[in-house]
Amino acid sequence: MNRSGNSFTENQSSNLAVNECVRYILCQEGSKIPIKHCDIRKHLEDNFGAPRNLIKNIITNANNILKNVYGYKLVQVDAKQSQYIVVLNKPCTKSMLSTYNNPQHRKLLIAALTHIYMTGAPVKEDDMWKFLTEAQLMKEFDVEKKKLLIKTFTRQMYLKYIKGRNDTFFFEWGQRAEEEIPKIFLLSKMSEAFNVGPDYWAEQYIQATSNENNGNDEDDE
Amino acid sequence: MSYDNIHRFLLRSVASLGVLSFHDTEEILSKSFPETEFAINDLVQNINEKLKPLKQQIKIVNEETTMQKNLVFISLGCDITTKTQNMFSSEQLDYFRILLEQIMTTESRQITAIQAINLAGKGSVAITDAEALLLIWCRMHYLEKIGSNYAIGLRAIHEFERYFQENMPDRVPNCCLCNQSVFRGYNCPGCDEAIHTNCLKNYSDKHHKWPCCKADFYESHLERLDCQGMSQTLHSKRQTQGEPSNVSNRTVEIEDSDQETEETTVEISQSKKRKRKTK
Repeated sequence: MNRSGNSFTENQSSNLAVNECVRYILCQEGSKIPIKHCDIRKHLEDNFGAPRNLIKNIITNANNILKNVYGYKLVQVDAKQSQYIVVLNKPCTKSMLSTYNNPQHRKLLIAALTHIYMTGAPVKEDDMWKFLTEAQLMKEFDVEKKKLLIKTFTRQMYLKYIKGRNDTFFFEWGQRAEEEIPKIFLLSKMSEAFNVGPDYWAEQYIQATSNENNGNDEDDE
Repeated sequence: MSYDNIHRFLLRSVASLGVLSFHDTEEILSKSFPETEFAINDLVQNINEKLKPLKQQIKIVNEETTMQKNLVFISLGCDITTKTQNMFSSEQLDYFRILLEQIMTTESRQITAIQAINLAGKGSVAITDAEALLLIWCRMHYLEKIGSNYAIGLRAIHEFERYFQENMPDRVPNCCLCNQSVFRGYNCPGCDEAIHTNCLKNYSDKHHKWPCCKADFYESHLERLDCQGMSQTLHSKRQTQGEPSNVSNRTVEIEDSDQETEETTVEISQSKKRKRKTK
């Protein structure tokens, strides 16, 4: 770093800021907790002297690098607070489970999401525990597993835990689940398990295939 | 070949798995991109060009025991940005560092599960959490479980290469037979030379001697070396090497000022111990 009065050329410093923005996003991404816009801004301002009015541009350029190098993209999830999650740029059915994830937790999550999807409506909290217990994925009063769904998965935006009528809580799909988990994938697992075609569940099939039409599979590019 | 989806897929796979064997890479890529001809080395080279400004890299390395080629994803930077990571708390990271230090200062470069869990207390990690953490780190290839012992995982070996060189240069010796860094191996009880488990086995099966000093080799040597008490081992090592009685010099040489090993707890003065607590 040039320590004299004139540091970088504008180009150099903006490249540095963009690369550091990408690095920051990748460092935060592992926990799956949404990344706050203000945290990105603070990190770049405080540590790399990035001017506030350029932050938006820097994030846009960082997003381009994520798309180009990794095939990831940033998605804004909370218009108010401005938070981002990192998801695949294009659907990819061949991905392997990251070692960052606990396979047991993953099973639990997929089961919960499948249950909500097949039910076709938000699932009452008690109903969810009953389902998961019957599926032998948790014991009836397993506080840790309940915390996983109510706290962790909601924080990661896989699930939504919403208060409904009569103070009952419901589980719904979170925005990250919508982005990350193709419904046709869940449906094909179900059809395998029940030995039927995926169109056996008409409503779900329509949902799953209309999603597929919106995104192009990586292979077609 | 211009940068394409196959590069991105490979990068995402290696980055999220941490370690992917060359063989599995070939299989997965052939299955996922059946129409594409590819050479893994070229793909990795292209990817690394893109990763350079991001301070990341995919290394193709040989695993010490199997000599199998593996792709390892490593983060090269250790700076203000990487320190913002939120997967592990600083106490958990301290615990990991303590584990690394303990493993690296044990003759056989392995520690028992019990030793590993007991070290959690030093890192202010609850013993109940320690088991879960050890599992996670094994899954991520930062540690490796060998039987009921823990050794340094392939990913840590390469990601922490500089850390080991800077903080414990005499803990990463080269094998007296093949001259590669030894992380799965032993120090000869006779002359203290380092050697890979594999290299030693290949030699001793034929010649029944330690290859370094040609001392007689017995299986019982390995049993004794495996997970011997740490301070015990080092203490006896010092005696055979005729170390100066002023131990504090040596401990400063071994580690960075803010990491302390068990050995320092045992052998150095109270003032050093206090220093650790304030860091």
